[in-house]
Amino acid sequence: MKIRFMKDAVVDELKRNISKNCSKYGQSDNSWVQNEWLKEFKHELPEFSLDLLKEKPEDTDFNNIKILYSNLKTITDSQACDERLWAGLCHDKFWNYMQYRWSISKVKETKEDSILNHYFFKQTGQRALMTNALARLWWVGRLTYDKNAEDPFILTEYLCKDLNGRGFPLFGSNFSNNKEVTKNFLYILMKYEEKNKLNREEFLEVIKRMNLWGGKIILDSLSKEELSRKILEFLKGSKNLIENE
Amino acid sequence: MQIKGSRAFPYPLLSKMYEDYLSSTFKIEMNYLKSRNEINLQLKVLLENMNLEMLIKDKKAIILCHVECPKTKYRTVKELNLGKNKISFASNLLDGYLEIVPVIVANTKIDNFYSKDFNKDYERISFEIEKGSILAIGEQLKIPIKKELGTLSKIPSIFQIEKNINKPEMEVEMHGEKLVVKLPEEEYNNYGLLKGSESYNNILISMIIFPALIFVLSELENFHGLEMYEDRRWYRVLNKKLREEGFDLKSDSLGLVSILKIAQKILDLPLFRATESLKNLEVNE
Repeated sequence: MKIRFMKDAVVDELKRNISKNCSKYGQSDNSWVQNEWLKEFKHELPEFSLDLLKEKPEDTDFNNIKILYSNLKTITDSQACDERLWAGLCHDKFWNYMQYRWSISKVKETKEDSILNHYFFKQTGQRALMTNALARLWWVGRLTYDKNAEDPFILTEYLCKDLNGRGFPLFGSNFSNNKEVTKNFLYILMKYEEKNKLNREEFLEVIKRMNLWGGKIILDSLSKEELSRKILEFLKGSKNLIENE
Repeated sequence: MQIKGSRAFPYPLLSKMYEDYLSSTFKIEMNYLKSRNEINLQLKVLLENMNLEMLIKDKKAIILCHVECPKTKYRTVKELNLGKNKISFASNLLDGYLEIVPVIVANTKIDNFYSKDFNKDYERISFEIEKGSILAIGEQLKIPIKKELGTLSKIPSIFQIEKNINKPEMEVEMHGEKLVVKLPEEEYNNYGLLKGSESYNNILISMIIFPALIFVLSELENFHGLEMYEDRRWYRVLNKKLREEGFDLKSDSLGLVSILKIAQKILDLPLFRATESLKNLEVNE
């Protein structure tokens, strides 16, 4: 399958004229997107399509992370940070997915903001990777995929139980840039949850504590066992504190 | 990760940013070399503190190079030795800039952490240090990583490859919006079979686009017929790229510099890319 990315100047132009083009993003077809705005990506990719079958579009996130990441695994991290690639895919190959998952008629934010966030990179830096509709699917896959596990998407599935509440704060934390630390962190909490309850607030408290520890120690230098001991001690301490209150 | 001097530590820390030690030093001499596929870093680690040296010797402390590229969410640590070290990173994992922070960290829990060289504020006080704690910070470095805009596209977009029907030579046409490189029929068919692979594509750029660009630059220089091409897309793109490299098609400066050199700059080291691809193809076989 050939995919196309959007030319740099076109990305700028479309972002400048969002209000003018707003209604076009509500159309079921993308015939207004001109061929010369797009350019063929150099790699050949397998033929695939995304899941558009669930009643609640957000329920397809886990499946679509698996589909998109598995099929686009060969692109490099550097390419996956390129706005032109995701803007091209959002306006071209995956237009139908965009209408299904991020229909501008249903958004809470302004239509302009929704288009900028989901079809382009509104912010600079890492945040954009988590707000663009397709980049977020790829990057959650990239950061949770464990090629050595029997089920390489086991951590993805765990995190997708609460992707917005747990996943995005996790990926906003600096320590999550180290993929080994992120995987260890998720394995530790997943295992903990097999026998204990861990609500969203507690999960976020552990993230906060990791950030605090990261101010003094190099978390990247700890083994999985050492990190596990620290996190479990913290959870035990904070649970006791709540029970004593 | 970048560590600022405003960050407070509950024990003495050896760094230029703090005054916790009297005369000890932890210095890093760093050089880096960027190639198309890699960033190579050379670091010379110099430590003058008996206590920390002993801890390193006993494996109770380690020297680490903390490396982070915030844009591509790349973060890792590499262990360093005292003296000279070489480390490298694949460019395709990076974009924006790479932050390098050399540190000494506790490799185990350390009881009674003490140095005779502690500032007088800490005189005769020892500390209990947790594993992973930062004990020293060396010179930090930010390396800019510039990704070329063209890295997503297959061949330089101002060129178009076509069949040269019934002619046995390669020719270049300059009158259209794109530079058309015409290949003899069999060569054109072979090109069609090979162009899908990135490795072959690098080799094809060297074989086809590189000589075609040299031809075009020579034509522009020899005939000064610039006006007739000025409104062509290929001319505008080429002119922009040349200006970025410090050359101007409208001035006479092009003739002073070797066209061969300019063509290599525009195509971003085509020979290097081709030979690297050939080397990789050989290894994979």
